[in-house]
Amino acid sequence: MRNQNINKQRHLSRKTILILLFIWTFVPFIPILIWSFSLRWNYPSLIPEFSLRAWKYIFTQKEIITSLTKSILISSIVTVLSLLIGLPAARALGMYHFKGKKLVSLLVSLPAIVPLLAVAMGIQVVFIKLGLSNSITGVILIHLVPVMPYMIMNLQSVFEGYNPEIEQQARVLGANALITFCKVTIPTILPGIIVACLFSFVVSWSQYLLTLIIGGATTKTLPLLLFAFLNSGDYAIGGAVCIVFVLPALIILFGSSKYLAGSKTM
Amino acid sequence: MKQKALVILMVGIMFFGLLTGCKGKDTQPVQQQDATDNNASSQTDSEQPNEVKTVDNNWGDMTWTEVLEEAKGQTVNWYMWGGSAVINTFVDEVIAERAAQYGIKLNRVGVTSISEAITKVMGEKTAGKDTNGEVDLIWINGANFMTMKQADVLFGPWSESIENAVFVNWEEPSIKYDMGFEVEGYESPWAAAQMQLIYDSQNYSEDALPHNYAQLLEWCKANPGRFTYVAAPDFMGTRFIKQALYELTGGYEQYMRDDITKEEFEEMSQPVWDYFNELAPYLWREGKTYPKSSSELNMMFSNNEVDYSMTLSAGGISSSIAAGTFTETSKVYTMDTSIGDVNYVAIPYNSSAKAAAMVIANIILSPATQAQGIVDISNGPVIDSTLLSEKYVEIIKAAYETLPVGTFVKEQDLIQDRVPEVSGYLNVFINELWNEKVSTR
Amino acid sequence: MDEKSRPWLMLLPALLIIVFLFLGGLVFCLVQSFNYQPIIGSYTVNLDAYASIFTDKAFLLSLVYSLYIAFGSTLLSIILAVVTAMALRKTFIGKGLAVFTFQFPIPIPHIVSGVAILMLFTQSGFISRIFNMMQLVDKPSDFPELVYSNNGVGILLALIWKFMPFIGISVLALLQTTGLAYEDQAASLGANAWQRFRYILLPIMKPAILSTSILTFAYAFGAYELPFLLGGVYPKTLAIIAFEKYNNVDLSYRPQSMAMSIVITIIVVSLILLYRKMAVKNEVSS
Repeated sequence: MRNQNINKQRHLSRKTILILLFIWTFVPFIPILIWSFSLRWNYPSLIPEFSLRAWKYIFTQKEIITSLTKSILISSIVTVLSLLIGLPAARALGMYHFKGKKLVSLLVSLPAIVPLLAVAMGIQVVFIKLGLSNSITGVILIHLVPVMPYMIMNLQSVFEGYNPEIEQQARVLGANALITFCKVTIPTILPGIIVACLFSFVVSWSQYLLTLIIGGATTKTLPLLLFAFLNSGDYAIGGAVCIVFVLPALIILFGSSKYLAGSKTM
Repeated sequence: MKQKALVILMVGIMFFGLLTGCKGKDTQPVQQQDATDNNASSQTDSEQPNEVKTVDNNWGDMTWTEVLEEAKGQTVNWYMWGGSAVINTFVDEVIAERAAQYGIKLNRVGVTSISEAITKVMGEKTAGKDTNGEVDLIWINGANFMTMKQADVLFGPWSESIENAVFVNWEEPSIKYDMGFEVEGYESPWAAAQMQLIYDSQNYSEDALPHNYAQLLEWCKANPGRFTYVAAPDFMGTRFIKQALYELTGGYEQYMRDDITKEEFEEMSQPVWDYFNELAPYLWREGKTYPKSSSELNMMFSNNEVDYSMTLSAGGISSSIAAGTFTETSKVYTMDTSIGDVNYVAIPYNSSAKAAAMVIANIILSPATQAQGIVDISNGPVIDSTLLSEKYVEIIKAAYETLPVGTFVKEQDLIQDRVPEVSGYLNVFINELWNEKVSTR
Repeated sequence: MDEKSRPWLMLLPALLIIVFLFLGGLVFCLVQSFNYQPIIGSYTVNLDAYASIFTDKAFLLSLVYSLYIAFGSTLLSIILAVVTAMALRKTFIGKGLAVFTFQFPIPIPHIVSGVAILMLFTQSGFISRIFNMMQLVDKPSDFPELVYSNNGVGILLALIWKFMPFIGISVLALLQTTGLAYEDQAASLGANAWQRFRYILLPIMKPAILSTSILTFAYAFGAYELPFLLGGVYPKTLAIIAFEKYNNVDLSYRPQSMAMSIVITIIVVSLILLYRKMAVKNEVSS
């Protein structure tokens, strides 16, 4: 009997926590959505004066399309570059033992953890001299600083659980290095790569301060545009831009949820 | 009607002639404008090539026709504050379309703070990038303008020689001096600004509202928590405090010197800090904190957290009401001391589209654009109606007539309460002293 | 020779990026913080910038404020993460949806969290209006000051929305694997719920908590976007005042902005090194 009561209590408290969790997670998106359809939404109304002004602005003003394109372009290139540079590095860290590995590991992880304000401020002078300031190239380079280590740390755990024997087996069976890589290595680590890429994309996608310092106003990614509208109090357009901004993250979330369930790394 | 127009024109010419003294060349353009007037359409700003004028600039003599020719095919990166959707749309559509008629591609670059553009140009100069600068045109005024001019990063002089410069009264103090700094042809006017208070006519009528700072204190005591102002160093805050400075220390004339030190200013301005500290407990949140920006204040006003907001648009708030920023019953009025000045556009020294940039500045000054600015974005015109032909005067008048009553202050009332913004360099002291003496009490 | 240098070759491109961009950027920042600014012709080297910021009341207040935001958000997130992970660790109907909800905020950019809090928790925000409808508040000023206030609650809420699942998912993973096995054993040996939690589960969760909270602390400490969006006039976080000084058109303020950024970096790096020391000790002791 006592056990039954305890179980009932546990179920109830779990249910409560789950309901609170559900509300806490999803309610934040409600006002954003509502604002995007408002002309005016003043206290104390729970329903706004409806208008498509914000969405019209989104679909007709070239600055939104330009921003979106820039963000997609930059984040995609950063992700691909990080993957190309990060894959061998992660393999080295995940599968090899060598002197100084601890130090390298620490060094590689630092840029993903340390606030990069100092780095961006410091390197800006150099970028100006090299003509990289206010250019997409410059922004891509500065995004690499937090994204690449993030990619490496994600991939490293994939390699740590990786058994190189399957590669050896393939070689024994007559496959050369390239075929081994393409037909054995890649498929095995593909889920891990996908998750790492998706999250790395989001890290680059979300950057604000770094893009602002290096890219200035010419490289207007979506976060910069979003900030401008929020700062000026235009919550309607801000809300609409926010929804456009969050879409890729949502796509990534739904797309990768099957991979995420088993993944231990963030 | 025609006689009236002629009289106005003649008075205008005499006025202009008197002011400019012996500068013969300045009287000519007014007559020429009359001639081209008959040919020019009211929609575009295309002037006839029979007008030959030299552009007084530091890259040699060029006629306006040659400038127009050079501008064809150029792209202008115009850096400006990007937080207003209506201004963005106005520039992207109205101005850019007119620019396209001249073969110019206008690329608006929105920034959160114009200092981003300034530091960019300064950075380019120190890196030795003297051509092909990123910034071709910049919406600027005041201390920022002075910084750029003194750092030698501005192209000029050019603004008094562009074609539509004839519509501007260059001797008017609010145009000739940008917050006390002499413009000297290094920037061209864009819109007039004047501080007004916004209130909801549903709740109050203008008579019940305070018209000077003494009355404001009384009003706040009677209505605690219903008023606040933007924190310095936001521009709206600085200006509100500076108006108090004029009113509480005996006028603005005493500040028209360029040698006031911070210590001296601290002494001179003490009554202001005493006033704002006395006011604080009756403000929103008892003055323990202030909104960071005018958009924050606007939101608080629309949400009825406070009874006032403020604007600098000399044309009022009709465009903001249409954009949903304010309720439809919102109205504006000026206090007895209301600082009015002008915003400008300037051209960095290293732009490689200077000709096109000048044409943009020219488009801005055209009566058609100025009139549309009144309607679309509540800009106050910077062109002098005494320098315009009757047709253009009508266009401006018609623009004002489209504005709902009460959403703008009539020109004569604006002038009556207007005081100039002098000695812009004092604003830094104002910001520092306010933060030291008032906000961190 | 080949085997020894192999991993280094594989690491080379990554290391180049880190050395030239990351370390390089830090070095340039450090140099400029010593007043060395060829830009304005200043070739001196001194500690003036550091002296001036450490005697600046506003800087010291910002330092304390940033620490408060970082500690506060991390601590609260840990508590909420543990509570939620504990509730989710067993199998039950709807667990899939629950876990999906739990990890939902992880890929969402921080700015979105900030926008949501902004629209929800200002005195005239969505929550306040709901309270008004339920007649709990009369006017905006009756609602507590959470956003644009100097208690930073709005900022904390936005950070917690992001941090809790980040910490929680890691904790949950451990609870579901190692945790369950030991838990069943302990239960069969007669340990009650509290004992199981305190002596079995908590130590198991510790590594996940530590490793994730270092990341959240570091992010919160150096944060710009959220404090800028949701914070009041005074005090401001370190990143905000550093960036403000950086943007001053008077370039003589640059060294101070660089010095502030270096201080942020040093504090975070020290914490990371401290954590690693602790983590090693933990490994040794367990």
